[in-house]
Amino acid sequence: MAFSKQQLKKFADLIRIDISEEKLEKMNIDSVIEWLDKLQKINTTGVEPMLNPAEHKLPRRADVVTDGNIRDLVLSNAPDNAGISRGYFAVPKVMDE
Amino acid sequence: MIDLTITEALQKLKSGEISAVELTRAYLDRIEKYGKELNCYITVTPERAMADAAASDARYAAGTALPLDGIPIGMKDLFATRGIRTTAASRMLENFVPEYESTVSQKFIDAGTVLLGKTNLDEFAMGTFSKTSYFGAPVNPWQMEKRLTAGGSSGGATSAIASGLAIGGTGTDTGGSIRFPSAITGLVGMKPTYGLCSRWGCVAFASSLDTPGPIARTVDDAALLLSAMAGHDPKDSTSSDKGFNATVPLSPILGDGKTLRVGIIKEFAAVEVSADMKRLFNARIEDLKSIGAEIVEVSIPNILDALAAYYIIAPAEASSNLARYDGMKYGLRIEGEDLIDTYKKTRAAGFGEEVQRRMIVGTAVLSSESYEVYFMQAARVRRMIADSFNKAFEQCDLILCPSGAGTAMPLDSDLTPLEYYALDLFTVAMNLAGIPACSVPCGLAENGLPLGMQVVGKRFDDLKVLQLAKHIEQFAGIDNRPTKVMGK
Repeated sequence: MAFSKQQLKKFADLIRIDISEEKLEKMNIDSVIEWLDKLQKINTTGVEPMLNPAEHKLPRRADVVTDGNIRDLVLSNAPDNAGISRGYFAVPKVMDE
Repeated sequence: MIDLTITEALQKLKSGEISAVELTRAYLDRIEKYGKELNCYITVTPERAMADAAASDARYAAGTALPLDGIPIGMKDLFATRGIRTTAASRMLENFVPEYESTVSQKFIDAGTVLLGKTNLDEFAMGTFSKTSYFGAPVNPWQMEKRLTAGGSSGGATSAIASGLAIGGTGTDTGGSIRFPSAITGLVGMKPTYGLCSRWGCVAFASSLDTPGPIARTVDDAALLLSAMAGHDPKDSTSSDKGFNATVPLSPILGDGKTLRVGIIKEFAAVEVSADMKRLFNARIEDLKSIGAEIVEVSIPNILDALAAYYIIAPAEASSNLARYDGMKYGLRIEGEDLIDTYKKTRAAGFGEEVQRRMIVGTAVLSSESYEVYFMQAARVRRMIADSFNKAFEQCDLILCPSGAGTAMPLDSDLTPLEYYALDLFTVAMNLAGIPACSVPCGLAENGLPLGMQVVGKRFDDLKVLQLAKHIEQFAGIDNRPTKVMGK
């Protein structure tokens, strides 16, 4: 299945990557997806999809706190340190006036 | 001292013939000399290494030595290390200093190893030449003047270990990233059973495929490293409660009248490989037959479609795993006009081209119009491949196949994305099935470069895989001592 230029641009937008149409074209994404199409010819009727090889029953953890009180450590890699002293991440303004 | 294996070094440390400080200093000196040229480390940690070594010597003196005490290793820069920059070879994490320790690297601390530094890799482990690294590609020490690739994505680890800039180390294998680089650098690279080693604290690429594992110069060394790395981790729900604990030297699985059914995959016979690969692969099979292996042809009908299934599943998981890099809480941030623009500029600048390509492909195959056609179809093909392996293992105990088609290629090879992807042909199926596979040197090609072949086993037959690999290692008998490889 082929994707149009607009669709590919939309996918890039959805995952928040700023990319020019020229660059997108040079990435040869079409040729990759065209190659993936070879899987379509395989008859998989009745086959259960396998999403992870570890098919043991996922264990349940006890509902207890295992860490915490590490606010400063969590903040230590913040790209904008304006909020750190007050215990917050500083982020760009989200709402209009 | 640089030519010692882990097994030999441990004996000398135990007997007091050498100290951990001496051993570590020898490696740090060599890193100082050749590290830049080989570009195998992103971050070298000399102070940490010397402190680790001193602590090891103190434990040896006190008689409280740990299993791998004083062994100087390189950690792939995908494992979070507390207080030490962890980049995933991406501009996005260029300055990221974790405040936590990955389970695997913690287990190495608990085993007494010395951390020399963080080894180079493809950005977010996406690649086969380690050329997608933001820090430039590592170089293969074999015939170094030719500037060949050390493989990828664990190419920094293989470059460092083959050149004697680490005695052993860690890799991660999502589609061949331990086995392919090990094969073309004359090393042993083990992708364990999925779930044997915890993924916690390891930067995620494709969570249902990512498998941490060891890289070393001998099979015994790989078994020792794996024993340290493996084990259940409550912080990784896919981690198994089966551990791994090998004693070395590993005991022979063949000889003395022992029998073993060894499978050869029929469908791989049609794949073009170099004449050297064919010759060495066949020679090793004859060797194994001579000590009692019974060769059986097995069929994995869809194994040649594993590559396409992989290049749907892995990018799909990556596109969702890498959503976390938004420039808000850690990592790179490029300010834009508003929040969305900041996200977009950050991610455009922070991710390299191959990572962006895979994320867009991953998003495409997960989009509502193509989810069934691509992603779920790939997951069904994955099941068919895993089932075929299970069936094959009713006819044989272990399977053999090449690790790749030929010897290391020049770093400046200009391949298309699909040509790079094709290099994973022999390795991806084992990740889809979650089964263990070890690449072990099978000999030298006419051009003097090493080639590797894989031993593949059932889930949790990791020990058997290594035992058979050891026979192959002995028959191949390649000399991978770093001073020999480097000529210095």
